[in-house]
Amino acid sequence: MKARLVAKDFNQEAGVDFNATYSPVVRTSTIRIVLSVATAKDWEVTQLDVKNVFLHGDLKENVYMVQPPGFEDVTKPTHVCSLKKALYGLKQAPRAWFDKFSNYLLEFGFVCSKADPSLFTYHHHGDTLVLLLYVDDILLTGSNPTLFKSLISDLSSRFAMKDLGNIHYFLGIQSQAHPQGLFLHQQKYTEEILHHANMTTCNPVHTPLPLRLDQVFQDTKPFSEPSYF
Amino acid sequence: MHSPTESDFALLKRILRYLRGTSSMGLHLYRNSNLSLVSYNDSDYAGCKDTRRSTSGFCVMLGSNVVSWSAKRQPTVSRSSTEAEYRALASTAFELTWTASVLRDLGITQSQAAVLRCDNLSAVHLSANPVLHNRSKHFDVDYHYVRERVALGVLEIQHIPAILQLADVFTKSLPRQSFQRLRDKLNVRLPPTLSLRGNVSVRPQA
Repeated sequence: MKARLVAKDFNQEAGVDFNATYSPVVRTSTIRIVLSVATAKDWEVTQLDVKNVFLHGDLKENVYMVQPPGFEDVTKPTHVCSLKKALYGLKQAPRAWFDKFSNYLLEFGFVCSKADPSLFTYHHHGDTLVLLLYVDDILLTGSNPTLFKSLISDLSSRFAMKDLGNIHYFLGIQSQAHPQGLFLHQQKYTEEILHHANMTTCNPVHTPLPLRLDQVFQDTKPFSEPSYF
Repeated sequence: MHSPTESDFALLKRILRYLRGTSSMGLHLYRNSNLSLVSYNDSDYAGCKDTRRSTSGFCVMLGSNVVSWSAKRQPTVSRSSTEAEYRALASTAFELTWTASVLRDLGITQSQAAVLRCDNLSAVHLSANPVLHNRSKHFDVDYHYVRERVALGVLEIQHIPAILQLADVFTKSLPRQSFQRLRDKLNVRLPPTLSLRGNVSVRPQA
């Protein structure tokens, strides 16, 4: 059995226990631009996964937590823990992780893109490495396989990582390489939606919209089950 | 969503039925592609029946691969179709600028101006002539943004006949044949192993 210690973030107070919680999120166009360039240039694309991602972050604020139940120190039962590293459940955990990892990348020589803060690029003697970071999911590609391998081994020595090999499932987008290029689809996600809506056996249609939209809008009766939306 | 109606729910169900017939389809990124930027831009004037706001639609292509697209109701009401088209042009121009900056970070600089294709002649003329008409004063920020990109030589606006317009699919409800033709042109197709049969679409069970 596995268990994880989770801090109760609803007791955290802004300005006291945490300051900035912003952590960049996905812009899928960036992923497609990177994959398109990598496909055109015949670069290998590898996917990495960081284990226990939020435990890596260092805390800037002083955060105190009561001793975890079952692990109290019997000699000092009234003492509290002062946290040095981030824990799952802390509001600033994603941000602390992002700061830690981006600092590592900047030390390596990467530059963070101004257009998208989750994109990091490294240029050296005509070679390029490209890294996309989405919390614990990392996409890595580049022009030089040796440089590429050395970055992966350096990364793995600093953070516990799993090398998932060639890109096949990244942020809900499935991908499949073929001789002409790369095929991206979301079959798994689509089927989950259909399953959720209980429409796995409905009759399919050819187009997503009816041709005469103005006729559809005549029925302005409020929908009886608004909670469906 | 605020106060959905019965017809909203019917439209939602239709989208799910469409997904059911096309769940295995996806976007192809092709290897033999150049890295120049071309975009298609369209607008549907006063298309939203509830608010009379217009719809902007665009897609950005890196060579032959589609990398970003949008179908979005404009935030304000436009008073003419040219105004609606111009607002759409500005948002597409902005997306092209953003895409070019991502490419620059990847070490790819554009040797030619990014091309923006639209089928509205007056919008093309407005971007080429340095005359600000009285009627277009109220959207001058969008106007100046596009004009500036053109003057800097990083953007080129081309007029295309409606038949070559790929962005129609983002702004209008189309009949089946046009819809499927445009979907195919945007490289949304069946998986590679299945497409040996050619461009046969998934047939709904009648």
